[in-house]
Amino acid sequence: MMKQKILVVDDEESVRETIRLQLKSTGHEIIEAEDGKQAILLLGQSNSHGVSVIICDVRMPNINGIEAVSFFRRDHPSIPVIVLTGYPDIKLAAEFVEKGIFDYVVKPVEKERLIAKVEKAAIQSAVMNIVD
Amino acid sequence: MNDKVAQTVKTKGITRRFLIIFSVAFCLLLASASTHYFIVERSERIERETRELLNIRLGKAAIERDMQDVISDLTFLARHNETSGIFLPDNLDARQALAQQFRVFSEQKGRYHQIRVLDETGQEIVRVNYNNGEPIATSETLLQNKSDRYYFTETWATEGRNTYISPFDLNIEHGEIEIPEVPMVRFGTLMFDENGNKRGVLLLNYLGSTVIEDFREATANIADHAMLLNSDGYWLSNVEKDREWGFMFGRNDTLAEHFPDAWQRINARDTGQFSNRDGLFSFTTVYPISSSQGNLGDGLGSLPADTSYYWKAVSHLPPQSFSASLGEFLRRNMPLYSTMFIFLAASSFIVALTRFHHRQAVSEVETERSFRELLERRVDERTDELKTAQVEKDLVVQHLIQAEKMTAIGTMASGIGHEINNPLYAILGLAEAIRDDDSREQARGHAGKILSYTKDIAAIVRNLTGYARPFSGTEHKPIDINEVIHKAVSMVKRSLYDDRIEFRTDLGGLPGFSAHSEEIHQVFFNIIRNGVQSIEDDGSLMITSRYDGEKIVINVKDDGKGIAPEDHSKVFDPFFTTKDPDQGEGMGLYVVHQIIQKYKGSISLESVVGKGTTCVIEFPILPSVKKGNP
Repeated sequence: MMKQKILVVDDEESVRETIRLQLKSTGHEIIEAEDGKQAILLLGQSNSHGVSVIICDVRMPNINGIEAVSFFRRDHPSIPVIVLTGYPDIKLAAEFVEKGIFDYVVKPVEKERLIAKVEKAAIQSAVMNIVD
Repeated sequence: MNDKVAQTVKTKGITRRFLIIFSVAFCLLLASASTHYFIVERSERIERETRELLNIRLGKAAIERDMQDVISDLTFLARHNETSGIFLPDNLDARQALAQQFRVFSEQKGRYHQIRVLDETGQEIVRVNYNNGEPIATSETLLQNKSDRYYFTETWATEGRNTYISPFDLNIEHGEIEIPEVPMVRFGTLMFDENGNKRGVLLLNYLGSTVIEDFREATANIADHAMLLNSDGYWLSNVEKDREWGFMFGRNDTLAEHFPDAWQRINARDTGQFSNRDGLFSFTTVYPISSSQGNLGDGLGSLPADTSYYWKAVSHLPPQSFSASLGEFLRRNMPLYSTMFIFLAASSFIVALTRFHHRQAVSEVETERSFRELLERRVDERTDELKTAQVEKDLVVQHLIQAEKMTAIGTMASGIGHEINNPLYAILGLAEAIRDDDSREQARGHAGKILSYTKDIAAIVRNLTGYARPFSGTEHKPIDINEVIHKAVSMVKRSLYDDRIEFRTDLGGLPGFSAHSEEIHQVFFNIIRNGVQSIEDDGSLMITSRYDGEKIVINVKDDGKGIAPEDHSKVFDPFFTTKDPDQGEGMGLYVVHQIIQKYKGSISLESVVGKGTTCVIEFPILPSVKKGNP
């Protein structure tokens, strides 16, 4: 799999660091945002071009996960979003699914599982880009 | 309805008492009236009897006085003239002189129908007729021989100087009763010569009307029922004139005929009084001769009394004349007894009323007392029940508080999950890195982080389990409410996905508050969570605390959607909620209220729809625990 650009949105440094650690072996480029607002700003910048997958938390200051995902899906529908959250909440999951997310993953998630999900999402992202 | 019954009971009670009291009082009145009547009747009877007897005696005295006068006249005329030679055959002068004397005497006395002297042969030798006040002496040629008349023979038959007295009857002239009737009594006495030989007879025809009139005058007070009778019971004087002189007219009209029993008793005794069914009879015996002779005192010696000749002076009151005295008594005393009757009735009524009210008051007091006792007993029982109920209620409330707490934990489980899962995820990631990387140095750094995250998780879990654990024991410890508020705020924050809500606090210095910190925590967690849930988008929640010297006052102010006025009174009710079913069971504020009540505190809400809600919680500080800031 070729090198991808992954956007990680989470207010917790520990979470961002863990994702970095788990995805390190894949060689993908990790760009980080501390909240929904920062993520939206990043996606608008040129250096964010080519983001294949967004990994997004739910509980965040300023713009929370739900609002952020709504934005992502509206302005960047081709980028698959993996919601990575501490809330094992089926209703919340359903809400995200309705918004068209790629996957809903509850923390803590094992390295292999996260990589598999990210890879799958990256493939879908690639397909979507070809279609576009 | 009850008023009506009470009125009936009252009327009956008063009536019954009135009847009893009045009956007794009326009996007493009757008794005293009877006594009064008895006394009056007795005194009237005595007075009546005395009056009757006295008047009868007055009548008797009048008659006897008259008789005394007559006999005195008779004696005087006889004694004065018996030796004046009138019996000498040729002594015409002496007889004429006597006639003259008799005429004067007759005129002066006015009570003698005839004054006569008869000689021993019964021949009238001097005779003066009264002639209605103009006495005339009968001429010698017209003088008659009366030797065959009873009054001559009877007088002639007397002994010594005794007086003969004829029966009281009506004068007869020429064989017929003289009309108008002339009642007559003939008095006679012997005349003697110097040698004591019987020479003739002096006769006085006494006009009986005088004695009858005197009798009537003397008995004027009882005139309508006084009577004079002869010894055969014939009336000589009677208010009913037709009854008089029955024997003269051949009528058997006597007292004996009308009242045989009474007559028997009257005749048997000299003087007396008795009552029988025919009435009251008062009587006395009049002795015309004996009484007179007893009083003569002319030096001629005492003469034997003649009790064989008598009349009866009688008064007869028929029963109806004094039985009417009861009616009279009533008539006379009616005003008195009417007044007393009315007075008694009124008094009885007042007494009945008073007694009834007294009795009622007593019974009311008793009822009240027994009611109070009953009430006290009930209160005691109820207090026991309530104590039991309170214990049960406390237990229920305790269970509710716990259940609500667990529900709250459930609703914030996702928040907790997030809280724990983040460090857990970091640990996982770090552990994977240690496993996969060879660098010992790097592994050491990861392990250090793992330790740190593990401690974070431990703190969270400790916090949660401490909160979820049921309170045990009743011992309270002084707690810092501000600290509890901080914890509650942080717990609520953790349950939120974002920080769109701004939490602000302005917590003043508070004294220690003696309580279970978990319960107070539950109060603030619920109130703050409610405030947060009421904020739909962005908003803020302001918490202030202060101590005013008597109580701790905490305000939790949100700028959420507010509470509708109609729901204000219901928010503390159990199972009341306006939230989605998944956001709670509606027990939160109920439990908050129960806990605050337990600590004698209060909670009130001020809310404006669309503007927000301010929740004011107050906890009183008892003097013993006012120890300044902990």
